[in-house]
Amino acid sequence: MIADYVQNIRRGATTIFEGMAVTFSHMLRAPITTQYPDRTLRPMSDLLPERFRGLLWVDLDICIGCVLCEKFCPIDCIKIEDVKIDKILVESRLDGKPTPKVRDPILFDINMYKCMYCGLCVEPCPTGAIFFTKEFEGASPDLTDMHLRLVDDQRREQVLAASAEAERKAQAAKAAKAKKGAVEATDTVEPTDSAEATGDA
Amino acid sequence: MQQTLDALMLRWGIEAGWQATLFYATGMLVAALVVLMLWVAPLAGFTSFFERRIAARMQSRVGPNRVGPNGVLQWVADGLKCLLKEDLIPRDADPFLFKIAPYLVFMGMFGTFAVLPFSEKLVVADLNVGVFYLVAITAFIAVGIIMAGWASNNKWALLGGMRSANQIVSYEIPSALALLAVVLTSGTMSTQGIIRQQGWMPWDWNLFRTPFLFLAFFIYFIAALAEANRTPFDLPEGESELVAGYNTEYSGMRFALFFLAEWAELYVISAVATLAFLGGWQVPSFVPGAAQPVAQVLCFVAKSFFWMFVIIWIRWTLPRVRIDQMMELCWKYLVPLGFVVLMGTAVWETFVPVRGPVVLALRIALFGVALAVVVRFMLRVRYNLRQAGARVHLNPIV
Repeated sequence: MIADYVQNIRRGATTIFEGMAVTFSHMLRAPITTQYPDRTLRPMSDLLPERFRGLLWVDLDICIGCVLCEKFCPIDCIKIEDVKIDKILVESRLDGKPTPKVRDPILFDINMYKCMYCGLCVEPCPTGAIFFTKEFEGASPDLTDMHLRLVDDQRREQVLAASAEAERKAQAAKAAKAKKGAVEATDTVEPTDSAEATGDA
Repeated sequence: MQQTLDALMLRWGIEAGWQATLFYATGMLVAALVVLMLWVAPLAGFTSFFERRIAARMQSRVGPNRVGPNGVLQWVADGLKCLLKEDLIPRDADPFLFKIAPYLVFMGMFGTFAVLPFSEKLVVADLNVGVFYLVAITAFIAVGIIMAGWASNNKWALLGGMRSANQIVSYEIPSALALLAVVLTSGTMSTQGIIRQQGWMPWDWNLFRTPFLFLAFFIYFIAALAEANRTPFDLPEGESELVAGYNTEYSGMRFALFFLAEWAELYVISAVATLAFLGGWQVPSFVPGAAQPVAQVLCFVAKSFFWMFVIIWIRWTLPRVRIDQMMELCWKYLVPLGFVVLMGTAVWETFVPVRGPVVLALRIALFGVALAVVVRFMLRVRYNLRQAGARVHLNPIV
């Protein structure tokens, strides 16, 4: 009984002593937290993990205008309009393979205030054009600031011009084919075939 | 303070009678305001910053460092914020009790400053019942807290208030017993008298005077922690169980007053421990006469701040005890030990001479024991640091 009593006191005193030694030793160590944002030793993008989901961004040069991201988005925060252009090959961000590109967006809006960062748009993208950046500082006094308009007017004009050019060329080719077909009148399948192939790719 | 007022009365030719009473009352009020504005309020505010920074370092964080150089003005910002907040009184609360409760808590805390000395001369009132007054006036805190809990008309608040009452009533016994042992040894209840009995050498302190007083110090310290509702005895606030306990319904300046009282209470505990056990303002006699008052104030405040640091340190080390453990610690351990200390001190004072080589040797031996504990502690800290492979980082400015 008395032994238990004394034992309790002894145990209480020694455990408190040990605990206090631990906390005191922690007080002598440097803090491990990073003081965001102005006293970070390295830029924030280096400190964030590899697969960090920040704001979305699109590399428009390799976007093939397949609108898969728009279709997969569960809350419809992506809006794309695209036009047909001449077929070019672009290099995929994912594996570096050349991918044919026949459509180019003239409107690519992402409403980041609606976005829930689920990543469902990033996964189906065949060229990896849409991706998560490590930017996350979206706070702003204006709600429209986070409505990303990725295609600016200048680019839109360029794409439209390229599209018109391609259209004109296609028309010319078609006309040439038709003329050729009219002359030879044997191979009628080819022109439709080539037009379809252009449309599908 | 009284001497100063007497001297002023003599100079201005104020005679005894109602003028003198009025003069005393005015003088004391002015003194109280000066102490409040220049010492208690900034001290409580600064303690909040001090505690948050220490807590942060103990948890490998940085802590508040935005307002002012390294965050030292954080408490001003917090106070201003509390002043600007809406002063809410719940509809079903008892408005009168709800309003006066924080003032009672504050009064209980602030009243103690009347007898807390800073130096040989600097004390508001050197009461001959100083220790008794200290124990008595702090009971206001219990009244205020129960009142706050009851008047809020909130279950959490009521539970917090009841727990606090239960705790303060229980722990007042061991803390009073420990202080009574000091009073027995010193033969006076005056706070200044108790300090004058001690010397500046550590083994002249009451702490090492007898083995019983050595024990009494720990009893007092634990009981005082419980009385001030500090962790590990912060059951009345118990944020994980009771939202915020008795101050759940409070907002704005009334809430700030509760916290002002809580942080100033830290200083009160530390100052009482300092004056009763650690030699108070006693400084070596080789300090030149002109520098004596300053040295005394510095000495007293430094010792008090050390114990404040220990209280904060305990808060960030120990988890909250359960209510039955809290009661068990009080009634099964501290109260019986308190009586042992009291009886032991009485016997010691009767049979053991006050001075003599044997007594001095015993005091130095006790001091040696304490020193050994400190050395052992440092070794453990070094062991912990080495075990973690951590480098020592002493710079408080991160």
